[in-house]
Amino acid sequence: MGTALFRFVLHHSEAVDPTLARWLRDEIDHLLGLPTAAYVGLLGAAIVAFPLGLLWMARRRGPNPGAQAGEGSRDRGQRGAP
Amino acid sequence: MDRHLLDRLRSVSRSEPDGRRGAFYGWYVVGALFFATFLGVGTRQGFGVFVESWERDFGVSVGTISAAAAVGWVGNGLSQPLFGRLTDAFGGRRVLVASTVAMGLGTVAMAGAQNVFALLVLYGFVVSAAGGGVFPTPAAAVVSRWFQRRRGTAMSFVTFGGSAGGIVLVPFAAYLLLATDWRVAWLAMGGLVLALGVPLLLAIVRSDPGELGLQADGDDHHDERVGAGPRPAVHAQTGPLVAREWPDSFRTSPIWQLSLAYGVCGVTTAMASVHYVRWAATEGISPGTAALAFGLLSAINGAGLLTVGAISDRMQRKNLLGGVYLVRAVAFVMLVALPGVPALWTFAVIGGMSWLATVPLTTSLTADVYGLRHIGTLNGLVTMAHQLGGAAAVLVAGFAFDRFGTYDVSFLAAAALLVVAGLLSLTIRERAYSTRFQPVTAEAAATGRSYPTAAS
Repeated sequence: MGTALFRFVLHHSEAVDPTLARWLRDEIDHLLGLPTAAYVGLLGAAIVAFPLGLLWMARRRGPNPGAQAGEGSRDRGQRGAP
Repeated sequence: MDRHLLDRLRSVSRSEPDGRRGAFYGWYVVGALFFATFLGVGTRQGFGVFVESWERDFGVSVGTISAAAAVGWVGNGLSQPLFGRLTDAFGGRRVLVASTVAMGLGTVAMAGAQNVFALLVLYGFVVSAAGGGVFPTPAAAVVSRWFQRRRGTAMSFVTFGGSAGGIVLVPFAAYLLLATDWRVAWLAMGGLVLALGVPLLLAIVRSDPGELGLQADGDDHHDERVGAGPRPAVHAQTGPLVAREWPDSFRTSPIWQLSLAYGVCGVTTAMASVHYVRWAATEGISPGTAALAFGLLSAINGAGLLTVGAISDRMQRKNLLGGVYLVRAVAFVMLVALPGVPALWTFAVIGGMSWLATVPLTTSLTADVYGLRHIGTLNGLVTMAHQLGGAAAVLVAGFAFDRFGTYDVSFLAAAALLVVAGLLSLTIRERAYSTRFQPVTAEAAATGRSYPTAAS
């Protein structure tokens, strides 16, 4: 069985199948035809944009009320909390 | 006005204790957990992109490199109960942040690997195990504390982060590999985890809405649940079968029903994931076409996941969970009953609808029934059943193919197991055991005892 036994799985969190990854890359190339650096830049920008946008929205919403509400108090021991 | 619409409006826009209006803070927490799952799952899925580079650089076979992935699979499964226990003891935020730091450092260290043994240790024992401290167990525990009525919807968004990681981070890794080399690619991915994931979790995630003076779903009082009519004030933090100690939960039937069914989920998804392409080869289908069909399955699962998560907040989750398993059983029967190419695409479509939908349903139902006191530990154990079931299934299906020369036996066995999982899920007495349907008194919430009438 060898390789087949340990082929990668794409479920929950396991590694992507190399065949699928290569197909995905080829399809994107075929569709857009951009240079490699452009894909890195575009995908990288998308990855960075989400957390920055979320942080900006959270900041725009106002100061974190946790600062006034005993932040971390539940972190110290959740077992006793109903 | 429709009751669910009212709930939705109330949940989305709400006055905070300090008078500001805006989205319920729980959705920001969901956003941060979505991104943590995106990074955690995407980084691990990216492993497959680098196999050919490692084959060339380290002079080893695909099978040898794949052993690291297999170790990671088992390591991830075994770490879940541990992280669940830590989550119950110290809060989800601390576990999430510490795990993300460990995952980021392990990912950066992958860039310096000098041989396949280093890959096995770093990926199998560090990155994959630390990934268990992000998704699904600690993330589900935090979501369960922030949401009660919309728990299924919120958890489906967090789970969708895994699908998005496969769609965005894996191509990013592939192009980065083309533009640079595998060491730079791993360094960049580790940098993303450390520079974006960790600060986001620190800035936004709180283990419990009570830390910000809020309550689950943004409610003022937990006095509403599924069903019409006024209800007495109840404790949303607990559940009808909450136990003083977590082992006591295993004296009740729902945790066994959920664990066994989720184990079957692991068995069947792992079997299909690992043997799908090889099965296609036995049918004369090219690996590329099989991979394309599996890619379609992965794309469909995102839509199925979000749909099922949202619907589950409006009906009994066990019915949806049972339905998901039965639909997947049909998909496996189709693999045997239909000829090659139609079977391939039918399975991709039908199977895709059920692929990840079990995650929000199972974690939400566990929280509904057992409350939040031991939710991390219980979700961790249920998830471990999933991962170990999957690992065993890969072995058994491979040996069955060697013995019988066909996958029909394994696929029919999978269909039979899925019918059993469907029945196990459908027979969970959700109306009797779920906090969505049964009020939990203050006394019970304080003592955390088991409920004898419900525990039989």
